Amino acid sequence: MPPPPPPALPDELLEEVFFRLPPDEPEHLARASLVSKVWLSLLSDSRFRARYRDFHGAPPVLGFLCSWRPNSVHEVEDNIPHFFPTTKFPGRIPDDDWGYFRYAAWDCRHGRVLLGDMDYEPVALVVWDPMTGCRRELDPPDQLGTSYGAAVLCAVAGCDHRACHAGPFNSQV
Amino acid sequence: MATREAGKKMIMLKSPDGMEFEVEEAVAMESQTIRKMIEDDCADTAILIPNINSKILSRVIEYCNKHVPTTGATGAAASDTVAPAALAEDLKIWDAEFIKVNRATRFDLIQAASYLNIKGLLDLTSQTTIDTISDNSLEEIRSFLSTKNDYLPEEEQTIRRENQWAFQ
Repeated sequence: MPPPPPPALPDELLEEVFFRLPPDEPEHLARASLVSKVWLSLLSDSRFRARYRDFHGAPPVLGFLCSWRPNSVHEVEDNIPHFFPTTKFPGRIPDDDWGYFRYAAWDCRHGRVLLGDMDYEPVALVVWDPMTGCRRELDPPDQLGTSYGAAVLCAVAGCDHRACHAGPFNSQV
Repeated sequence: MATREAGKKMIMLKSPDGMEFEVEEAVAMESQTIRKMIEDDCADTAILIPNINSKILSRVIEYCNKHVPTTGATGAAASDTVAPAALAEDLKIWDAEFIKVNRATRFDLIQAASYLNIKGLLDLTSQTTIDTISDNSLEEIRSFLSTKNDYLPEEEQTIRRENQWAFQ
């Protein structure tokens, strides 16, 4: 007769184990989330995410954003952000209509990407979360001169920015 | 009772099933939990280690004995003759043999390493479990870690489809 299976690890010890999931191979985190809903809730809990970040220090580079491809013409595939992953995680780019705009990456901070449309005047701004795929179009800024820049920032006072990418944000032009 | 043998301070560790283990203080202090007890002067008699049976406690002591830094006269002699890289390689091989245990024992060791706060042992036992998560199918992971799949089949399908990148 086979021995009975050992009892499941308690949640706090599961967390200890999960800390060792390699951040530069994010597929393991995603796969572990699909083992059970209990694991999913442990792994996606903001407290766990903050401790995971503490455990590993600086987060890994997941990819590069590119404003446009060299010699690119205005084609359909230019209507989404250009994200070139350095891990298996391709970024979440919703396949619904991004509009007929050419997105340039203007800023990337605190887990959010600020995209500006290169063709639209006055400039159209979109904040995109590559982790969740959520995006939000912003009201176009008014009274811009000919030279300007824009940034996106977490809006929570005192935030350590370890797990805030889905929270409120500010954009500055 | 703390005693001295051959110039080394000894500590008595007791498991809840009544076994007593006399170990060198330096070995016991591989555990940050015990180190704190000793430093706070809470350890002048035998230390009871709750929730860790004698079988697991003896394995933990075996680990600490192997991993205690070699200092003092004998340690200096050892490090003069053996290169640190060779020592590290030797420890790695020893660790790989040490962790060849069944699941129940490994889980008990994770629990013990966590309670006693022995980072190296927690790293070793947890990493071995992570290797299981990394190398196996979801079904195998569930079976290995005694985790019940509480996703509905259609939920699992949807999430798999949305996260194909993680399963390729």
